Amino acid sequence: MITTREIANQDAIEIKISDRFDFSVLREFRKAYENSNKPVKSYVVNLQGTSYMDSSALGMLLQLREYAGNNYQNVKIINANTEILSILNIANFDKLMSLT
Amino acid sequence: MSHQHARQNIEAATNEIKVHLDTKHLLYIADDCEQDRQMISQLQVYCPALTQTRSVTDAIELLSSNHFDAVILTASISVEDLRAFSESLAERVAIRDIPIVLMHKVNTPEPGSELLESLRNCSLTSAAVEPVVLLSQLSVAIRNHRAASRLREENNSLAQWRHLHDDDMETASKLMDSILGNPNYRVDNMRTHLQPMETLNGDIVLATNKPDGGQHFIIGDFTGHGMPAALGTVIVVDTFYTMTLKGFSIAEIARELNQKLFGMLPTGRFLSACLIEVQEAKQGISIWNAGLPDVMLVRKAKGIVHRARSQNLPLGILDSKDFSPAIETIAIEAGDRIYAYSDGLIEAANHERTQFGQTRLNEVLNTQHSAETVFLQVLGELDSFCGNAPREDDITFVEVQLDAVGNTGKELTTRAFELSKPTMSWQFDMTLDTDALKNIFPIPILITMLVDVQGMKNHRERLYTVLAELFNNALDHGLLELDSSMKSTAEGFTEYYDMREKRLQALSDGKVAFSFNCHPREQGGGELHIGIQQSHNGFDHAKVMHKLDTNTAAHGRGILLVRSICEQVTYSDEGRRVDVCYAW
Repeated sequence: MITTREIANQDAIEIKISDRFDFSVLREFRKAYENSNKPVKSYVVNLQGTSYMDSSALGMLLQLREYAGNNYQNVKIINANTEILSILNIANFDKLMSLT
Repeated sequence: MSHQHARQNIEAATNEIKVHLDTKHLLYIADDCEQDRQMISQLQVYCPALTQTRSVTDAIELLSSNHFDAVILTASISVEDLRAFSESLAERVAIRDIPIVLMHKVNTPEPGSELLESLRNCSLTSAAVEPVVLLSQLSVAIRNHRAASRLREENNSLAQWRHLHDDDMETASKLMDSILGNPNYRVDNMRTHLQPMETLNGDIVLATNKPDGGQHFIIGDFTGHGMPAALGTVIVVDTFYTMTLKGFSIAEIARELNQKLFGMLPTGRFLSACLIEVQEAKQGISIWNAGLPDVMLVRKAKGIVHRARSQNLPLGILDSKDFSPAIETIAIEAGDRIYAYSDGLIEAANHERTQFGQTRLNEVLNTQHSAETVFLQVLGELDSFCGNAPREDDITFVEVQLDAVGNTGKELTTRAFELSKPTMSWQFDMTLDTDALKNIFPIPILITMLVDVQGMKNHRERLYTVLAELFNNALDHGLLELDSSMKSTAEGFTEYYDMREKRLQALSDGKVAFSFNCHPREQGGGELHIGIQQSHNGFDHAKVMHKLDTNTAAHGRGILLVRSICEQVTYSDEGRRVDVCYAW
């Protein structure tokens, strides 16, 4: 389940993933950033409550990053739990986007 | 009753209920009695092409040669006729599931349930049924029948497709086996456990010997499974073997793999991998880890002595210009083992959804098992932890044994090898300036040139050994002023390579020049004169000369081996130049 909301006063949107960040949310995730009616400069991926992430999720983050212009600043990940943070770190995604 | 009258009747009856009958093809089997005639004329309002017949034999005939969506059997039909109808239908696969509505009259014997069932798709209704109700029943029956037919067709075509697919997969799998399992390149000091989810997968474990006697290993894990992952492995296999055999370093192989995969894979797909180099005299190893869990170095009686963390993005994500491999070089001891594995091993879970985890793995690696059993111990623990819980990811587990310090394999004898071309006279010079020295390891390229120009394929290992040793001396000891004796301690070993990297990047003024001069000998055979000159100013040449002369097996097979391969080794220009004569 993906929920999207606009972040007030910024050209940014927050995409929240619940529970499992895996292949089953691929379509929804893409829709979340592809179908916005406003110009969006940056994206926040909120992993509050996300307990599981696999390599297809890493792939989705790469696609979002490409869509957002392939810059470090344009994609931010927040509220990742310890396990998920460790997956992101092993993959060295801290070199590609801000992780908290 | 006239049509108009009939229509009015139905319209009145259907004021609240509208029935849509999506067919023109109904077969009405009946005697010609008044009730039937009324019903028929009412039905004909919705189905003008309704066909009527009196005999079941004719009905079968009609059903076999025309398309009908449903059959209406009236109350007047006898049980014997019904049985005959059922038997005839059963023989005809194409029509035996046709929806049938049987109108039954109160106070007449019912056809038994057995007979009804033998009609396969028959529903019972009262002979006094209202036309609109009958139409509604027919509508539903026809719709269901069409859906069932569609489903059956889909299933058949799916079964066929699956059969073809399974066949393809088996062929592809055999192909993959022969591509991946080239026996010419195998090493004998590695154990592998591969447990993929699907036959076609993206798990890679390859190893082969380098021309100088060292070894390269690659352990990798593509995102996803199936054909796309398997296709990627073909590219990796080819690049890995070709470049290793030519003598390229793991940094260069990583760069080349990254470039190829970046160009080939769609965004979101990548290869997590680690490349390991074991140096030829087994004094040290280099590890490049890009996305795998910690690669472990395990020592007898000590357990884990080093963890090589993933410090690089997986292959296929970064553009070439952003690619900058971070490699760790560490000293090893005889008897050490390296363990590399995919995240599937760590994340394997039991029925309670608890993961096996890094801690459990580390515990097994740290416990004082005998070296031979650690590998099986890990797999045993994994198995008993997970039980028969379903697997969710590919599991790869690899052990590399670093048993003997010293020569890995073949002895380099001084026996003359044949060339694939007659010896010709030619000459080649190349100079590497500072920026080239920082970015290029020239030996594989030069070896390739020698092989291609003079057909020196069988001499590859000997020439590689000579060129690599002399070039490293010129660069490391000459231009960079590094001291090999640093490598005698574990910390010093790593420090040596760190310092080498730093000094190389900081080098502001330095050149290394190669010259090759080949000509045949009168008595047959030929000689290749190789000269290597470095440009460093103001270093202690006496000290350097001494070092060069005494560089013994403790820090590599060194100059002694070069002297045994070449007829002549001469230093000049205060140690800045070395000339060798390689003959056959």
